[in-house]
Amino acid sequence: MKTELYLLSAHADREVGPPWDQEIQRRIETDPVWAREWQTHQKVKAALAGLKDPAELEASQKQVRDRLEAFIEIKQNPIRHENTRLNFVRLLTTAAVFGLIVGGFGYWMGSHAASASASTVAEVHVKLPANYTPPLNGDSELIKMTSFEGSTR
Amino acid sequence: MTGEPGDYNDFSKVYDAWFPLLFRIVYRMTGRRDISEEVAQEAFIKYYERRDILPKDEGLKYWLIRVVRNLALNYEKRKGRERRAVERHFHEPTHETGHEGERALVREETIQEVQAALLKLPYNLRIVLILKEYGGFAYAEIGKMLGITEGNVKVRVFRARNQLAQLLGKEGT
Repeated sequence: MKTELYLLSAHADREVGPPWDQEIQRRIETDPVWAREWQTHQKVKAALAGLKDPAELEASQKQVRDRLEAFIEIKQNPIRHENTRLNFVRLLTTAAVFGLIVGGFGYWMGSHAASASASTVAEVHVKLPANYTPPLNGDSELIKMTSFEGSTR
Repeated sequence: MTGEPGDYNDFSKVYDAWFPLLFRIVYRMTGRRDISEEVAQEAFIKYYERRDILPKDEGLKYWLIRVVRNLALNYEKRKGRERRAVERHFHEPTHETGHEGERALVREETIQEVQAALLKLPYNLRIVLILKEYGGFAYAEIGKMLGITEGNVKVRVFRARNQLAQLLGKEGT
């Protein structure tokens, strides 16, 4: 039966135990389909057995071993810089100084900056004549005057 | 299996014991020495990094085989992507069209022809055949390593040999 033909391969590999191995052997000897398949598998096994170990095996084994030994050596003895700690301190110091400079400059800039915000209002107390009405906008803010009204001072 | 070391804690002994087997398997899977070295090296690096938690008995052998199996599969996939990219670019197939379909009986094959035929097998058939023929593993062991049933292994070995027979023109008359 064709569905059991796959057991031929297992039989060739001695992977079929009794009583099935005897049944398979009987079919090989009596059934031409089984006999043909058996021949095929035997020839393929022989062809595969002809492939010896690759000639490069020994050389490759040595080459890979050398690389692995280098890898293990680096793992066990990592490269350490003698001035690592000193460099770290230097880095921190530089960062701190730079931060002070930038922060100080920023503070200086901020203290001298003229606010252009319309919402910032300077409070000025002036004495005006009773009959003078200063021009104000909708937010009760003095509108900028472009001319000096000397007579009203 | 020959070469099994008594002390699995010794990396060097493990390497000497299992490198030939791993290299042989990957070489038959890929046909390339450089890939075989790379895969074997990667497997042993993984072993070195995990040696304290890995099994120390037969389980280690199966673990190493699974690692090289996965790495070889990654190579296979990468090779397939590269081949498809070349085919798309040049609009022509890149695989060899030598003896496919020929039914002439060949009495003596060169090593290269058999190796080339092996490489033409689908990956899932090739791996079981190689583990059987060149690893010397039993079907049950192969099933355990690949996560498939023993029955599945038997079917795949059968199909692999049948396809190989067609590729080599060895079908019986």
